[in-house]
Amino acid sequence: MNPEQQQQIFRTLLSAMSAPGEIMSIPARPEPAPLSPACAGVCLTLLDASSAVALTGMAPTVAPWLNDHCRAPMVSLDEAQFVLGMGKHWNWESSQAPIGSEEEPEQGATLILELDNLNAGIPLQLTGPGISGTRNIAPRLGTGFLAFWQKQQSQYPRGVDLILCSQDQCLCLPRSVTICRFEEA
Amino acid sequence: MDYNFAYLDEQSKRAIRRSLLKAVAIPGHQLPFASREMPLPYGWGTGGIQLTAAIIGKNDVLKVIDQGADDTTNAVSIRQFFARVTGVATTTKTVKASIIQTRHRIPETPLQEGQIMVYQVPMPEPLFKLEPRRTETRILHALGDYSLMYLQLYDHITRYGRVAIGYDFPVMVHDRYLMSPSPIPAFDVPKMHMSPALQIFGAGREKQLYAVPPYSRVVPLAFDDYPFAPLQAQAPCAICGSQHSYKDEIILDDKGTRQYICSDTDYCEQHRC
Ligand SMILES: [Zn+2]
Repeated sequence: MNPEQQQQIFRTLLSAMSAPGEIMSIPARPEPAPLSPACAGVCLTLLDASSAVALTGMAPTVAPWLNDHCRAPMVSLDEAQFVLGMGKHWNWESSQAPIGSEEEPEQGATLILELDNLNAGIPLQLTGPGISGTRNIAPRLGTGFLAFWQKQQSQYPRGVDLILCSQDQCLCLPRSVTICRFEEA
Repeated sequence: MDYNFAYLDEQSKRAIRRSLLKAVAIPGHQLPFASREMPLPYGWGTGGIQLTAAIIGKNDVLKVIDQGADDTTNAVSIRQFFARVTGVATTTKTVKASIIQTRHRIPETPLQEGQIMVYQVPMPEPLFKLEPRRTETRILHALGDYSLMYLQLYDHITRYGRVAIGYDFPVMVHDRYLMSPSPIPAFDVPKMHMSPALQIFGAGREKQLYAVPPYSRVVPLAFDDYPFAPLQAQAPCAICGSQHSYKDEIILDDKGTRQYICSDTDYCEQHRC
C-alpha cells in the first residue's frame, strides 16, 4: 500500500476515533490478505518495526503476512501495543491486554478485532467525547463485553481502545466513551 | 532538493499517527513523541508543523494563522512550506479549510464537523510555572491533583480581586485532565468547549502532543463565587464594526490614541459590507 493510501486510511481512523461508534469505510483496498480489507488496511497503516503486536485466535497465515508487510515484532499479549483478534472469540472475562499505568495510560493496547458484523449485535448506547448527545451501535461482540467495558471505565484513564473491523468497514471505541445497553422506550 | 510528501519520512508520520489516536482516546492527556528536526526553527511551531505533516493529504485545504492573521511572516512561511512539500490547496477562509494550523488564536467563525485545528504549543505543561519538574507533574496528572493550580487562582483573587490570566488559561478536559489550551487569549477558551472540530496540539521542543476530540467538555478552572470572566476590549472594531470579536489594540499617535481592530483578519474581511 502506498503512502497516499496509508494517509487516507489514517484520516479515516482519526475520524473514527474522534466519532466513537460511527461506521466508516476504509478507503483503499489493499492487495489480498488473510484479513478483512479493513483490518489489513488498518495494519498496513499503523504497524511497523516499532509497534509490538500480539495475535489471538487468528489464522496461521496472519503472522507471516504481518511479518512480510509490516515487519511488526510479535510479542506476548501482556507486552503488546496492538492486539489482533476475533471479536466473537475474544475473552472479555479475562482480557490480558495491557491497560497502561496511571502515568502512562497511552501504554494501554489498541485491540483490532475482526467482527462478522458491525450492526447485528445487542443494541448499545454511547455517550462521551466525540459524540453530540448519544449514538447507538450494535457490533456483534462476545458475551461479557459490557461488563468488561464498565470495569475498564472505573479504571480510566487506564484501558484499551478498540478498532472493530468487518469487511471494508470499521468503527472505533476509545476508552473515554461510556457504553450502556440500549433499552428502547 | 527532493522531499517526501509533507517533508516527514513515513516512519516518523506513522509514529505520530499512532500517538495521535491514543491522544484522541484519552482527551487532554499529554503523550511524548519523537519530535524531528524540521526546516524551520523551534519557536516557529515545529510541533504543530509535525502534526500537520502527519495528517495532511492531497485533498486537504490548509489555513495557517498567527495571532489571528494569515499574512504574518510566521503564517506565510508555514503555509508556503506546506504548499511546496505537499502541493495542497491553501486558503485564508476559515469555512473552506479542512486543516487550520494556528498560533495564539481560534477563528471567530464557528468551526465545523470534519475540520481539524492544529495548535502550535510552546509549553504543553499547564503546571510548569508551579512545578518545573516533569517527573512531579506527571504524578500530579496521574492523581488528578490540581490543587497547586487552584491555589494560584485563589492567590490571584485575594491579590487582584479576579483571576488575572489573559492567555493560556488552564482548562479541565473531559473532567479529568488539566490542559494548556496553548497561548490563546482567555476570550477564545469557550470556543473549545463542545467544538464540532477535532483539536490537536503539538509542542516540538517539549516533544509532547495531546488532543481534544469533537464534542468534548473543556471547562476553564474557576470558583463558584468567581466564575470564569475573561477581559475583553468593549469598543467595536474600527474596520468592520464587530462587537463580538477579539480585538488587537493599535496605538495611533504619541498621545496614546487607541484603536481596536479584529485580530482575526478573515472574520474582519467577511464582516465589511
Ligand atoms: Zn473587524
